[in-house]
Amino acid sequence: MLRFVVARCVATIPVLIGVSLVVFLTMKIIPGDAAEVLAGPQATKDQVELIRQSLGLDRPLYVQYVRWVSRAAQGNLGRSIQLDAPVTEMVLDRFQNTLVLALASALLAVAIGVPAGILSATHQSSGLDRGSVLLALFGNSMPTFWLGLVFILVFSLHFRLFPSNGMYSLRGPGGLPDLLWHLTLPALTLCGVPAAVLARVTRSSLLDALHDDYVRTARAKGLTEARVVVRHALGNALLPVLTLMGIQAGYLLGGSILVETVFSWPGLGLQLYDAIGARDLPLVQGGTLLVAIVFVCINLFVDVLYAVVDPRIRYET
Amino acid sequence: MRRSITRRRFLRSLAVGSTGALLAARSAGAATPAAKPGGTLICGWEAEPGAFDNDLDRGAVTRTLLHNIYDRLVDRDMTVKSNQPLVGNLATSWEISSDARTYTFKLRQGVRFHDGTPCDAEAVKFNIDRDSDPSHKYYNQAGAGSLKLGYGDLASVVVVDKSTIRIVHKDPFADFLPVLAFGTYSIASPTAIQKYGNDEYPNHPVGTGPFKYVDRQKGVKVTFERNPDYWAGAPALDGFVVRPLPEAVTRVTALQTGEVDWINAVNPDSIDGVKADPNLVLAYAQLPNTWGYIPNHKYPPTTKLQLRRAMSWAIDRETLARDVMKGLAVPAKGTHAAGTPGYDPNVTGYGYDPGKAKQLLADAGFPKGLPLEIWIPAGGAGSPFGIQMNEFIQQNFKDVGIDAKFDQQEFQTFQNNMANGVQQGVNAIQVGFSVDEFVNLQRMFRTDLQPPNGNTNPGWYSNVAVDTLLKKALQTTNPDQRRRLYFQVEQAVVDDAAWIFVVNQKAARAWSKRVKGFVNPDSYMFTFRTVSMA
Repeated sequence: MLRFVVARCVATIPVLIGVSLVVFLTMKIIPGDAAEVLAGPQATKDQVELIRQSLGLDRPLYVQYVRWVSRAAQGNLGRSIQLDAPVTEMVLDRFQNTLVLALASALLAVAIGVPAGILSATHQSSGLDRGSVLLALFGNSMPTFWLGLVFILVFSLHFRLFPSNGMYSLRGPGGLPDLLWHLTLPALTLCGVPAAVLARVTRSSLLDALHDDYVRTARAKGLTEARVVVRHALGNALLPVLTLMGIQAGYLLGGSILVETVFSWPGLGLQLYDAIGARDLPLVQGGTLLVAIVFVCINLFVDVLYAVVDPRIRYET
Repeated sequence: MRRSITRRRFLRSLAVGSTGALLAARSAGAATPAAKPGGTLICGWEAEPGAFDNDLDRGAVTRTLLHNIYDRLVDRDMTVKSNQPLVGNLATSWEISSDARTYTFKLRQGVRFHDGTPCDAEAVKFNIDRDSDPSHKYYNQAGAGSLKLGYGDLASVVVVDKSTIRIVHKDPFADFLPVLAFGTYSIASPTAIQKYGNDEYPNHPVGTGPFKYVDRQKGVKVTFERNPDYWAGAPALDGFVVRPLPEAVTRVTALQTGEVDWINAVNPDSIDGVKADPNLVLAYAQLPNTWGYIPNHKYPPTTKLQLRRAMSWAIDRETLARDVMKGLAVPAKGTHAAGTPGYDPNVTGYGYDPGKAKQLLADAGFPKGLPLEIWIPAGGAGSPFGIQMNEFIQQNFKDVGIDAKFDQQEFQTFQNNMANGVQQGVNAIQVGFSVDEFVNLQRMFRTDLQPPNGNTNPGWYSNVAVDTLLKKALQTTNPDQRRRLYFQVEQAVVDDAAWIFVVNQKAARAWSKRVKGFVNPDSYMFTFRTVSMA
């Protein structure tokens, strides 16, 4: 088992190097740089050049990359140009808030998606099943920014039930109840797609399991249908769901850019959005790198977890 | 309070991203009581403000906050709606030598920075040296780049006594005062800069302004509190909070639900809804923004005056401003918008006359019209209506026989191309410039500032008479005489159709009726010094 884990960890190193190269080069390929932003649209060339030198943007590309990556390896992602603060501190700080939103959405997605999938499978071809399919289709197809705006107009503006923005009230007492109140709409918005996907996969996976021999045996023993589903079929049916959760975790982190922007949720997504608008390259690089690393880590974690749940996997390495 | 809403109204409000229909269904709110001192103003901002360097321009969303934290030697008085006068700020008076090189400022006595240290001549010199003298211990290279227009040709900065400072330029610079009024010429506490260093200082800004910076929770809020010792009198507010709300619909909703009290940049689709809300005030500000096209004065055919004039007469500015821009602009008559300090009411500009445009085209040698290649920034950067405006004008041009091909360029590529000047084969580029002071004319139309010496005259405009007037203006210390010279420049460049001036844009700002005393100046800048809460 240890060998498997170590092998998987080593395999992520080239991935991480690739990720860092892609992140760095993408920022370099796009035209313009931070010096031009800071200088303003009406600056002269030598004004821009002075600022460019002060930011080290006049050095050769490979020098900039080596400097950036060696500092990044030590946890130093440079300074944000727009906010003039250490990027590492900024992205980690904001990542916590994204994590709160992503976790809440994941929990909601599981709480909605898995039971919906189970009900669908156990009531195959019924009205309930068709309703669930329709809902899943809706959840999967709605653009999150549109759904977010609809929620704001309905629940914030019209019914005044939930706040339209932020993580805590600026005038309120703060604390956990305030956080949960602010979390509701963005988490509901973000959980739409993963909940829909989970419902569909749970349904098909459970339907497969329900036709297996061991389920027939369980039924033959005279167990109730609920017990058959929960104790016997569900355990095996949830294996693909586990993998799917890993992929969806990536979606939750990436999808949070739109949702965080709509709800002004102070997470990494909103920070990236602001940073892109301000052409704050160190911040965009740092934020993207963090998301990529987290994505790699989640995949690693899911791989390991999968090996724990299904021993056949590690024997194949 | 129950509100009803029909399905159609709801869908329509969604379709336009507006909250108007929902608002129209709202019932009237309670009458607002009178203002009293105290209270905290919560503002919805269109983006997270940048760091608060006193000397770097991080865009209007940040720069306007500099006006609340810092003072400058002189300032445009933002408590005045239009044509804000140039007033002493940290300086109470000044003398300008007859050759317009030497400026001697008398400083306001007894002014202290928020950290309690005195704001005297030494402090002002520290600030200027930091952004102009490479040997200064706290020399800020980026700041020096940013303030090159004002501090780029300094011969000396001398502390005459504790409250007198003399600034000497190498060349005559009669426009120095309006340049000093720009937000990035703010004076910061030398003690704070020494304490935190150039890197960390912008996160601990210390000025002499009406509000003190308290702290920032990134992405959540920036908090400011009243400076009780402000030299012009303490503000009524206890303080104000800036909440970044980048999504336009969320920003308006937050105002309507009372989560924030004041918002900037109301999106056009929400304007009717905000206007219909009895608890809100919506007001326009004329921005010092001139939107139009810069023709190529170096390569034909736009070197022909009749062609440039034909383009000018072909544009239906009234309809464009009213219908396409939903009233968030006025037709541009010349270089400066009405309400801004550089505006000349006598310049009448070009109206809409397609017949005249066709005649001018024929006079220019194009009786059957001609194709033109025009570069525009992708996504209509520079205006929320950029794309629609260009499409509308393309049709206007087509009506008179000009077949304009608009070539979209990524914004930074576009900027880089501006810095290199408009090349052969490109007949014009679309720009939205911030044009407020007379000094902008120097940058837009001087022959010696053509690329590569700047990117503000990318169309290679060159007119000996205009150059002479501009040079003379820089040497003329008498404000009235200087104004007359600049007015002559404005008329000359309009006659020359040096630019195809199209519109001057406006901003829509809105606030709760609980907010009292806010002056909504015709500027990107504003101050909360006069505000109180009911």
